[in-house]
Amino acid sequence: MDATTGADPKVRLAPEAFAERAHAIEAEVGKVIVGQHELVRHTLVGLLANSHVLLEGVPGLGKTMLVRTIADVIDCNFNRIQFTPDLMPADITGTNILVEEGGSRVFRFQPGPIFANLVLADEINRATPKTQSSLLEAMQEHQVTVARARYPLDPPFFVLATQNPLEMEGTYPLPEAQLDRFLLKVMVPFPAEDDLVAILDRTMGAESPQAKQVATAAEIVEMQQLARAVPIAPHVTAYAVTLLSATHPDNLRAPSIVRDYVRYGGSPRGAQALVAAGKILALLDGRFSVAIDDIRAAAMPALRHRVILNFEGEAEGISSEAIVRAILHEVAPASVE
Amino acid sequence: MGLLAWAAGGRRRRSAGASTPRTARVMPAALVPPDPAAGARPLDPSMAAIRSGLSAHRRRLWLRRVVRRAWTIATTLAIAEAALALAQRAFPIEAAPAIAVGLPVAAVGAMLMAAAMVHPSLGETALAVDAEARTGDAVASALAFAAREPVTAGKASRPDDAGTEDGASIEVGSSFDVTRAEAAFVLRQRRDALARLVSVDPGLFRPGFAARHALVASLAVLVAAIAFALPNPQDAVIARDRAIRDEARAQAQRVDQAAHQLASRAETPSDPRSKLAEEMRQFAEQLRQNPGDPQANLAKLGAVEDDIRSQLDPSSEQRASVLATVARALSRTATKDPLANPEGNTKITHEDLNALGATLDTMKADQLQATAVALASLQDLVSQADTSAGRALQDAASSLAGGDTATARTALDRLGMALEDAVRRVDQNRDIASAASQLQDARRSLADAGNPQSRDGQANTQGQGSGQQGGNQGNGQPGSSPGASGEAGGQGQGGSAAPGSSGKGQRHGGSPGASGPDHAQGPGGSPGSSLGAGQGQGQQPGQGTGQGQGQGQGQGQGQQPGGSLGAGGGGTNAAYLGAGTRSGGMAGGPAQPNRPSVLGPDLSSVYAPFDRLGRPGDLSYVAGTGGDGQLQQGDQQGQGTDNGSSVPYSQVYGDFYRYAITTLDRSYVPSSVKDYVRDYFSSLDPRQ
Repeated sequence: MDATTGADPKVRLAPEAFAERAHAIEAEVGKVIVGQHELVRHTLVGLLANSHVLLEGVPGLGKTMLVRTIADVIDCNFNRIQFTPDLMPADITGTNILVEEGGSRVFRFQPGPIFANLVLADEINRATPKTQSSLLEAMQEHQVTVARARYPLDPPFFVLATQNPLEMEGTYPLPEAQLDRFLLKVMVPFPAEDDLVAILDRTMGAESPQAKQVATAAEIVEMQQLARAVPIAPHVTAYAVTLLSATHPDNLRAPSIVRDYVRYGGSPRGAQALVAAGKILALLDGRFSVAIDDIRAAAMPALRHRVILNFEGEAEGISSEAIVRAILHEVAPASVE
Repeated sequence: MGLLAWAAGGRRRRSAGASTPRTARVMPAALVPPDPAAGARPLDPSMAAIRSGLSAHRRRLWLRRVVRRAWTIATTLAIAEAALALAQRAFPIEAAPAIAVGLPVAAVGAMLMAAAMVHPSLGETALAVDAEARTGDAVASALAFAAREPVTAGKASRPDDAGTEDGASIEVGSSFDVTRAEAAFVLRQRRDALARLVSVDPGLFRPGFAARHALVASLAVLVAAIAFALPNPQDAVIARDRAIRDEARAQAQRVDQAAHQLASRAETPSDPRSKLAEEMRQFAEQLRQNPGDPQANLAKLGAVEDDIRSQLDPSSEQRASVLATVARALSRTATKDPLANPEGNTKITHEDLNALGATLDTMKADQLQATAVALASLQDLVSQADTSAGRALQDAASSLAGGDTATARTALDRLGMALEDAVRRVDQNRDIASAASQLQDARRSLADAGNPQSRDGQANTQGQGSGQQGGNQGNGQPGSSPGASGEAGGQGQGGSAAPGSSGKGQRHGGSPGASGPDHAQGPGGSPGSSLGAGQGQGQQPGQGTGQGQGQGQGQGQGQQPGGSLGAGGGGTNAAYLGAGTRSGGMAGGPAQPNRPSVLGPDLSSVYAPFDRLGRPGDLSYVAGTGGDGQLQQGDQQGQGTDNGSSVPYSQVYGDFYRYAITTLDRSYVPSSVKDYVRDYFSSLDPRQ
């Protein structure tokens, strides 16, 4: 048994088993979260891609419930951090505290809430940039450095941040560097009426649905490893690059809306996000290589937070979703016919 | 590049993802999966099955590509034909029929070329299958992975042999190796791609009916058919342009020939005829190179014509007449033979003068004096002909009068040479005038080329000319010949009979085409046997030094005072006619009056061959010496009888026509006058 992951070195995983396990997780989450299939799918993609997801939606749409449910479905640690303006970095990463051991006082590191497999950074934009940036190392390096001592985070490490798009007063929008750390940015839509009825039935009844555990943290790590090995053909990679390049206003293939309203396009992390998400989507679809359709399906959540609008775009009320939608509309796969 | 891209690429549709993309770019060749069979290694059975499975799709894809290109080419062809049909109605496109025929040929060529170029590769086929059969890019990816990781594509590298996994399950956990895992995925993916390929509809890539292309092509064909069927107003423009070019080429040849003739007559490189010939050749070359630009050609022609005209001596023909007279007179003076040198040849005159010079030493004083007097009597005439000749004659006469035979001999020789030089200058001027005349004709032909209005106008002119001709016939009036006078002891008959005029003789029982010379009446003939109605055109007052009695019926139609297009020439029965002088007009008649008769002794023939009647340039000159003819004035009211001298009308017509044309060409005559003459002859043409 692996000391850190708990994964058996001899474990073998079939690609079909990957899909079955993922679908089982989705199904279990779906018992609690009514509708929101895309939200659940993209959240799972972020988890299996060994990255992080930013959720944006108004309060009450089940963001916290989603993370909690995922934590229930997966046997792993879960911590929730409510970001507030007075939240300090040490409140997240942890700090050295003075303790008495054997009659002497020594500093001992007290891990913060970041030390968990699933971390919910609720309303992350309410914390100060300083506090927000305390997540950078943890999200990118999967470790925390305190007082020159590095503390690795146990895999899987998955940060699910949320932010409220309405109450912007007193908030600190995430800087681009921070945003870039999130593999996907998923919008939490308001549920449909039928879904609302189902939500009421489930939450206001005598019994609340409970999701059962269908996977362990070790199994999630195995799935992450398997997903990483999914091959991708050069022409598919080229299309991912083309899509990302089209987010840059100085690119020849950029649509006019990009040239007019975009200040900066996506970073190379955007292309990585497209490919990583595409691999997960391919496996979830029962395929063993990434298709162009996977790239296109991943484009919206992977690129929407990486497109920085210029002043005209902001003034005109252009959304980054409209930009990505235009790119998907304009930039077709290379053709041989 | 564009053609290659077009031939090799197109658009493939993909409906997955967000929405259907509007634009596609052609996939770079580097991204098209290569054929894994290119390697020497035997293929994995799955890969071999994928290749064979793609073969059928490859043929159908090729067929569909060819059909699509065919639709595109056919539609383009129809549009091009329609555009051509419309354009040729808006613009004069002479090559439109050839283009209309050439377009389908080019389309067939393009089709063949496109068919060769659109043959898909295996990788392109895989990409197309993925795109249309929704196989999730599995097939193309399988080919790409086989090329990228050839170790996984060969039989010798089966999973067991190569230590790779077969992809059914992949080892994960702490011993996870991403390279091995990816290789296992490739094998698994290949089997999956084969399974997806097998399930693909065999009818994929079935060529479809391009309704939009068909609609556009049908409309274009309809437009083209209508446009081609309706009368095209541009045809007249094209015909005119073609006529202009044809005429330009014809005139170029004509000018070239004239230049060649002119150059051949040039005696020295500095001869102005050489320079003019070169100019004419350059103009002819311009005509050939740019036959379709009449304005430029006419401008150039005008420049050449002006240059030639500036070198013309307007009094050259008059001088030529005088020279002939002088030559004739000098020869007769030198030889004491009244019939000597009838042609007025200056070479003969030169020889006669030299012969005279050779005999001077044997002459007595009174003979020298007589010769000096005789020569001195010609002083004014010779000076009028040529200044240097006049000086030489004066020297000769004075030397003879002084008894200086050596000086006189030298002076006589100089006189002969001066006369020959003068004749050469006259010939030169005639050549230049002839060239100018031809250029003038060329200019008119170029200006009239392609203009049907000009031909109509010419026809009208002909009609007018004929009418006028008829009037002339009816209005012939007896009258004196203003163009010539003749007398000498005998009788001169000043008859206006220039073929260039409207002279027309009528003989009783003869054809009305007899003219000019036919008007001559021999004294031996029956008086009044011929009703002659000569109509001359000479308007200039004739001046005869002797007293001549002219008879003729003339009706002047000259164009300008002092100018004569047809100097009247009358027949005479005088054995010897004196030579009269005439001034104030160019001699142009076919026969000069008062020349010695060459008729036979019985004088029964009234017809003299045309070429024996003299040449243009001969002066109407009556010396007033000799001549024993009698005045024969026919009764014009009498009944004529055929004297047997009838000459076929066609022959007479041909003689006079050639003479008139020669005269026109030799002289710089205004075009309108030329037209008049030509119209006149056209009205007489027996072939019409």
